[in-house]
Amino acid sequence: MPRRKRKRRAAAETHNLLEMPPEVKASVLSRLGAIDILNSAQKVCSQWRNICKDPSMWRSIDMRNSGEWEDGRVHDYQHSIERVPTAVAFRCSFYSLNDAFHRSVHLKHLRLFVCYDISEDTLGEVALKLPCLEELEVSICYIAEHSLKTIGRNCPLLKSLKYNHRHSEDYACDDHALAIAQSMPELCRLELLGNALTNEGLQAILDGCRHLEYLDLRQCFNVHLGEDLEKRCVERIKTLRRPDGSTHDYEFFVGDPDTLSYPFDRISDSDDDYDLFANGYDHYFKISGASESSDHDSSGISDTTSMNSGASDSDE
Amino acid sequence: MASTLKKIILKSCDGKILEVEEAVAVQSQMIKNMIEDDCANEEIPLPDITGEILSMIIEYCKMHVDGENNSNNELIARDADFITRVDLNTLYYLIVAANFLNVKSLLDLTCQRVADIIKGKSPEEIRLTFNIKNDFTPEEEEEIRKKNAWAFDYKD
Repeated sequence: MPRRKRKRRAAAETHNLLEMPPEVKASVLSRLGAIDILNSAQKVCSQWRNICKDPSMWRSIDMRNSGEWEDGRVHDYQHSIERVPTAVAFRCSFYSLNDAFHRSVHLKHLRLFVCYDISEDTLGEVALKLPCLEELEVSICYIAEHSLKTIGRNCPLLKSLKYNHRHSEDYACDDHALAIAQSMPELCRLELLGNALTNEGLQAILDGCRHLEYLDLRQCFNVHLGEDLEKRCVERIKTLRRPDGSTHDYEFFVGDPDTLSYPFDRISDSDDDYDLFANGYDHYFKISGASESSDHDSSGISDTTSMNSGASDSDE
Repeated sequence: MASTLKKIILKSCDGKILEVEEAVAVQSQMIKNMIEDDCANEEIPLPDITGEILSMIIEYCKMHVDGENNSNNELIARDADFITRVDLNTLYYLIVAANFLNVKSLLDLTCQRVADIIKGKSPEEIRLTFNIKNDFTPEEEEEIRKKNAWAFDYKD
């Protein structure tokens, strides 16, 4: 029975996670997300089960695959979804989101990406149920401008909006910019990578969003920062990412003009999902509670200096 | 030039002596506190850390000090390269040591690595991977099966 003996020795050498200091165990388990805690971690042993009972373990829910979420599983996870402050949805349909968030009054951070079957006005309906929403990200999928208005009106605490959806280069349109300017006066952070807005839309945003500190206009090639507009931006906004700024720290690949809008052929099977992410798939899902701003800031500093260096009150 | 930099001397539990530049050593909050309290002039004994683990931690801290001017993405890539080379047993010792020495970024990295290993595994796979004994009674098992949403026993 040499085989058995070897196996036992290997097991004895593997250190038991239970021996780690309690704060370390909690730190590990709190990084799992609601679904892994619910399905696995709490069922491993009584000690883990006790750790998992702490509300601080329930920080985020990771809804990656629409198929699973439409299969009645939303109901199984309802209690978790209702309690977490952060949700990340990837390739989920509106129907599953609407079901999932119908009692999520605690949700503060919502990231949606590649949720391509969200129909034109339905995201506004989802937002009606999220009165505490502070941060919304919609990447690689489209929001109608009236949905933006609904979101603005119903989420009074919204401080950060990230709507990255690349339009074709010959298309110019200020509808989204005007909707944001009219309905989201409290925004501090706005990312519009690849948007079709023009100088007029930018002016409206500067007028409407008086608290704006961070504005990302990369790949917005209809914005032409002349001397006056540039001066106004520098005076008003601490960190501006210019239309021609580098996208090296952007989460998704931006090389191909179609990538930001409809990359569905590239993500037809799950192995290819990884290709969308410049820094790797799991990195994107890594959410450590509400400390969102710190990682935003560290990634946002690098190529903003061209703008800030001219300003006397540069924040660097 | 290197000789003018202050060195901190660390001694592992198996007797290995390592000289570390102060800038690297202060990545450990514990050592930083000792230096500030003027307690780091002689060798610092680290009773629970082997020479092998200590060398790895110093390698990691050095990588972060040397890479201070690198972009965020570059550091993330280096961290990933560092941590994926580590087997589970070593990972365990690294966590315990990073916790003791209070090297926050390394503790984050190692805890995240363990979490990534756990993710997507069934309870039984987790027990096998980490050598954890299932200590639930059959009654408790049944209760877990029945009551999936136990965590929030609140009334509507």
